Amino acid sequence: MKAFLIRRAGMSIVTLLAVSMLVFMLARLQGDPRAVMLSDYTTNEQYEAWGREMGLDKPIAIQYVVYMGKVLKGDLGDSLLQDGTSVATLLWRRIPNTIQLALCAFAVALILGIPLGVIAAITRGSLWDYGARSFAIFGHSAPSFWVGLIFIVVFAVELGWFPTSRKTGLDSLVLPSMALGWGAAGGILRLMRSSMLEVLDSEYVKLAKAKGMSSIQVVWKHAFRNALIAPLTAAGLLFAGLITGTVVTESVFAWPGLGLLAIQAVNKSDYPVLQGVILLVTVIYVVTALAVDLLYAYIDPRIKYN
Amino acid sequence: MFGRSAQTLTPEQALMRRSGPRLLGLPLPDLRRWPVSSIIILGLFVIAAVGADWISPYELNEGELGDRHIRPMFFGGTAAHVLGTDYLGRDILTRAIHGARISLMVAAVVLGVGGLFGTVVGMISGYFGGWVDEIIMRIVDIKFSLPFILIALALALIFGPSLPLLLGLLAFLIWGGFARQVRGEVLVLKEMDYVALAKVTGASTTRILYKHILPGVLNTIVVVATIQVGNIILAEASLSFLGAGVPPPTPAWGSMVALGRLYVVDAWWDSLAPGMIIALVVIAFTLLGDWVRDRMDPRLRQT
Repeated sequence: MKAFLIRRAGMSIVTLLAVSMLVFMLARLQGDPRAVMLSDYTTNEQYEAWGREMGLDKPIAIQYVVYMGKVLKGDLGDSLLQDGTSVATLLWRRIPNTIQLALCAFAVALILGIPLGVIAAITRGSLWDYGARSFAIFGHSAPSFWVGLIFIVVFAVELGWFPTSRKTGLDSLVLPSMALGWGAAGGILRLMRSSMLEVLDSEYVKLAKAKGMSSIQVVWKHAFRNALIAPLTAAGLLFAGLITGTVVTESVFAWPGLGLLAIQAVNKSDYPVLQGVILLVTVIYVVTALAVDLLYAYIDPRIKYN
Repeated sequence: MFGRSAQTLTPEQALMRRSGPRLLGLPLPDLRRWPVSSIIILGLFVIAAVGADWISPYELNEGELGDRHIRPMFFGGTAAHVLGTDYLGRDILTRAIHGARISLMVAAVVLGVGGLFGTVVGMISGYFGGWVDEIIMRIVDIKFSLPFILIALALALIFGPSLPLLLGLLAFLIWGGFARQVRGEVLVLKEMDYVALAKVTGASTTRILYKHILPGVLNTIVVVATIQVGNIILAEASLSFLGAGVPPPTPAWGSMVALGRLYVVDAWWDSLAPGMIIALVVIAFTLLGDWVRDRMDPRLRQT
């Protein structure tokens, strides 16, 4: 267990280092940070002095170390716009909204995907099965930004059931969560269905049936619980994926999370903010994936020996 | 041994023995065995992409401002604009047909570059094993935990959105999937007797990889490629929607949805049509992918 833990945690750290290097290099590629401060009256000496102040005269490796030191202390620089608010403050304000949206979409995925997957497996080959699989394929294939727009037109504009966009109350969460969760629901549905079919075909389920158990009992007591393992294993990573997936959905619904912050930063060429979002989202993803893996290794002892 | 020669049929005989509907005495292909709807949709997609200049009813990017937001044909419009017109009075069908060309071109280039790179890396990783394999697979793991869309946005911000950048990003998105699958396949193949025999006879590593391993992984490559096309089209559409994909005025489906979005309340067809087309094409590729997988690689078959 210990070796597994160290190995797995090491991987997470390498991933974070890779992303931080990428983001740092992109910042340098963007150009000389002194350019924004230049005026007609800037002398060469002043320019050099700024360079020393910012550490630009040092080798790039040292610059990176200095940069990482600041990042680890939570200093991500200031926004170029937004009145120079610190990036950390902006991120801190937006995180809860993104997590809220991702959690709700995750709930949608489980609430729709698991029961529909069970129904599809039990009624294999029927119209129900066909309908459930169509639902899954459509959710996986239709672009989520387009699904979001359709939801807005149908459920917000025409029917008036929910607000069109922005964060107002709990009801404003419904449409974005559905738009984001549909694709994930499709994934869970397919996994649940195939895992359920496999279990229903197993010897112990056949035995239970042969003993004369009613089919509802067989499905619930024997098949369902065992079939649940596969989709739940995938669900953890799916949740981590939903956090990065919010970018598009937040853009469609003007949901004030990290994704929308990133889009706004792109539109205003505000690189420090975008850089902050990338680092934070990667951290959230990596930490979630790590937690999920460790949890499974704890629950299922077979994993850590692989 | 088991009377095999008596049972062996020539291909012609086998064809004539098949049951089912016939045309002029020849059996028609069994429609239940073929993904017909996928083939029709993708056929239209390819025809639209290749023949865009000849079959589109109007000139690309030419619009009449007086004809803004005409409704689609079956929703109160006329046959002059089957899918209606957009906010500049441009024919949506014409733009959608030209969008097919961009999507197909992007998918082909990205599959070629990303697929080839992923395949080569996967073969090296699986064949050599050891620390080479360890390093390559960890890089693939890292690739899968990068926030792709955000990094694409950052690159688009710094270099400006462009077609070469988009192609590079998408190739980067898909190579890992190829590398993983191909590696898994190579791990099995390299233990085969015929590979050992080739080694004994003194074949070089390049020759073994090219002549003996590659043919064995071709099926896997085709399966992964078919499944990845849908992902490429979706990712391209998402990036174009966010403004980090194909730069305007080139009509990519994703950017068409984004442009129509501003008018979605009054002119829903402006966004609906291109989005529907993306969905249909991706569904067609998904179904085709499932079919190809079942045909070519029974081990990956889902129950």
